[in-house]
Amino acid sequence: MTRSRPLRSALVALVSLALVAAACTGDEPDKNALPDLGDPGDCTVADLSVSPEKLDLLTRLAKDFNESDGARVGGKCVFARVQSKSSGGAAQLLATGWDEGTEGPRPVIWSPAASTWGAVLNQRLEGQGDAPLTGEFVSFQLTPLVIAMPRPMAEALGWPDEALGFADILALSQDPTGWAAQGHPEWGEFRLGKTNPNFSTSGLSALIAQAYAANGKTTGLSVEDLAKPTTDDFARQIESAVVHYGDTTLTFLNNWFRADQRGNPYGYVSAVAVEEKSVIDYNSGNPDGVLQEGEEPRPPRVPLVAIYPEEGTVYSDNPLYVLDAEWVDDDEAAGAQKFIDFVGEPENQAKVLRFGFRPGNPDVAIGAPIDASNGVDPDQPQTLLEVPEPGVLTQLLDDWQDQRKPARVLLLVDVSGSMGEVADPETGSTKLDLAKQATVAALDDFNDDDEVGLSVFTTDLGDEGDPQEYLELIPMGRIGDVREQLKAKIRDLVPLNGTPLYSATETAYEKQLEGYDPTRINAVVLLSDGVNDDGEPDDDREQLQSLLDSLSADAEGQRGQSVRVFPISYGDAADLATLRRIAEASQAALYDSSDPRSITKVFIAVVSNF
Amino acid sequence: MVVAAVVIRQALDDDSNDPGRRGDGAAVLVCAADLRDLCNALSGIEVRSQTAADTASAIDDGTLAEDIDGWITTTAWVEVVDSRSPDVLADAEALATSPAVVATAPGRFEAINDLCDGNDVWVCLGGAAGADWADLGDGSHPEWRELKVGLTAPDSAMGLSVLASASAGFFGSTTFATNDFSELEGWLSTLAVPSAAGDPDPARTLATRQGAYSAAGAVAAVAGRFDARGVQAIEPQTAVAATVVLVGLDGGDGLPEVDPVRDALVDDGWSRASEDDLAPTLKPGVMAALHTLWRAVTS
Repeated sequence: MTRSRPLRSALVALVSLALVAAACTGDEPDKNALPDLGDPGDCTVADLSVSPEKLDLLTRLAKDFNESDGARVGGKCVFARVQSKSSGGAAQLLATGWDEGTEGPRPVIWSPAASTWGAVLNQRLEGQGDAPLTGEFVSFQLTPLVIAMPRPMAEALGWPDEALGFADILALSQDPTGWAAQGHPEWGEFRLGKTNPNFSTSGLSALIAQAYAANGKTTGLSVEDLAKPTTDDFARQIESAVVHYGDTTLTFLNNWFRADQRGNPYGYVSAVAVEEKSVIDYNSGNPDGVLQEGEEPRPPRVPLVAIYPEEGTVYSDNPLYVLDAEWVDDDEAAGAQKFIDFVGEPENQAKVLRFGFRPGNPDVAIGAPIDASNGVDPDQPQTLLEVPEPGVLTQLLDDWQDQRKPARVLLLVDVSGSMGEVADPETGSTKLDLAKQATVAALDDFNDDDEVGLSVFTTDLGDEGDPQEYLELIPMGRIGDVREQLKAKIRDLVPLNGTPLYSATETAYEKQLEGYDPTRINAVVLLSDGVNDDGEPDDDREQLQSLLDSLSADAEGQRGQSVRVFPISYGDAADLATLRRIAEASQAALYDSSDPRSITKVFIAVVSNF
Repeated sequence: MVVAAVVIRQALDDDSNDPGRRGDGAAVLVCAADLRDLCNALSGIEVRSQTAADTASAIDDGTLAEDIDGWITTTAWVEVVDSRSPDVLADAEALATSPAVVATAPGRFEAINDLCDGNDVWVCLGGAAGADWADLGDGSHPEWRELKVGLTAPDSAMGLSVLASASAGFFGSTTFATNDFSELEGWLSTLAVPSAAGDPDPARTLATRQGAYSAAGAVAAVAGRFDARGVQAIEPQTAVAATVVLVGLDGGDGLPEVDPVRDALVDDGWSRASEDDLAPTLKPGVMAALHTLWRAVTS
């Protein structure tokens, strides 16, 4: 398999793609539920950029800090102000220039999910001839990468008596009889959930662990190790079991939880590489880790258990870097240090523990909720893997681009009349103009051997005597062969008539089912800016129910032919609620591009699933 | 957490340092970075923080700021400087002492004791380093995979004492000489692999990153900070202590009163030191050569 675009450094891809992570999916925690930090007034402000999974915790700690007597430097108050940025996204911004106008204040403290990102940033800066921004750090909380499985599935594999790891995942993924070999034919084939390592720390950690497992090592993973055919085979076989990728583990956890609530957590995925903290959150009935206002946590019917890979694992070590940057003055740095000291105090580290992280301060013993009742084991992991050198990491990511499971994706684009509305008053670009640009750009992120097709929908397409609502413009084909045709067709799109959302989605879905390829991730990417409007409102309800029934029956069925529909809710008039139901019914994810100017970022995030 | 925070503070301090600046008449001390939290107990004294190896190099090449009156470090580094630059250091005052030990990872104390079976813990761990636990002892812990030992970074004040302890364990005494190093080199090379990049506090790593090491060389007082996480200590048969000292620099204005540091050390689990604790640990020149050997085997 070769890549169509010039081979870019995976490092560049890593930071570029990751820019969009966490800002796009409908699975984002509701930040409105967090405490308002208020106005810093004349205080020295220590701005923090933190990875999304700890936004809630750090916002609450910042509030406590700001109200504490210790928040003073040189007789002046200090005000910690937290904003969320994905780890890779922040690394990108710090490397290329942080525009405060669009991205918020530049951080004094940066806290990605793992210090791996600090190394990536410094590597990038070094490549540009710039000085490093990160150095020594305080690791204020930790959580190891684990393989989460429904407890009965883990038990079927011998857990907890048997040590399990990536070798077992490999064996399961290659067994054509799937779970039948473990006495559970009703669970179908083995399905693995892994996030895209260019976006997600869990995905990156899983990739590292896989590579070590393939080589039977725990330290010193080298470029030579990665070049071995056995390493490549191991990786390809693991990837072959993946249901889809994506930018965040929350997609998997939310879908899994919904499937559990419907009574069958076994059909969607069998195992997902996540952080230990996520298992705790899931088992407490809070799969995305943030409780919305009024939300009551309700434990799942079937709990997950954390399997600590016997080959070893890595920690997300949540560094707190005081950036060695020109925009950080002495007072801000001193204020930042005060905040770091504050969060390290045992009382605050106990809060860290309550959120399901392992406290960085060893004075605080590990206890509940990190215990067996939540499916995790405080005595694990038993083996830790050395984080590879940045050059090895880069090669690992480059290799993954070729090893990942290939995709078979139908792009279904709404060309209704409303797509002609102006979306960017500054440029006069319409919604369709922006969507076309984003779609064309996203095509470059597919591998040459991925298969992609293009269809559009609106009312009154085709001949006057035989109007159609769905039109196939480019049939499914190897994108390495049809990329330019696709781009040309997309550029030619014009806005037309109504929005037969339900019928077009069902047609696209059925076409994908007809051509289902078990060796690929089969999906429909649906971009729509409006509510269903096919001129016949009387049957809308039946149409939608029929679509949802089809999607959910297949997604939860055991026949292993899941076609996932990833809707993009485009513009503020899109039917976000219905598109979410479509995503959930097919166990995919909704992407929100309410502001059409975000569509390029959103499209990149959508393509991260493949 | 404490040590990591110290490093951050050090970076901040270093940024604001003006090496040529004289304080406002107050005594000026340079404090080894890994002791900085304890040096913070001082008031009325300007305290600068620096890695012990860097201070020793600065003394050696004559670039240490002239306004510094004294250095808070360990006797191991006093031995290094004394051998490289005799007559530069003035009077020394022993503050507190704590033995170098092998700290064991949570849940592995018994297994390591069983593995060593009465032999010196350094000899035993050094011989087994890099082997798979499935092949060690009764083989009942294959899940621990490779036996890894962390060593406190020997550039630090305490770390060099720990390196001396490991080496003394290998030789069975503290009377070895540099011409014995050919025996030590291969053994140390294997032992050093997991922490070759420099772990400032491997006992903390044991406590917070479970699975990173099976054991770690550390100072007993430091290892004792992590009781809450199940870290335990094994004393090597050949005793080597880390003794914190305040040593004057030739031309300084005399040594200031540093009882608060001594008290802080005692509060931290160290023992009050006596003049006897100032005695060199190794033969003249051996400590400096040991540090050089470490750099060679980890480069």
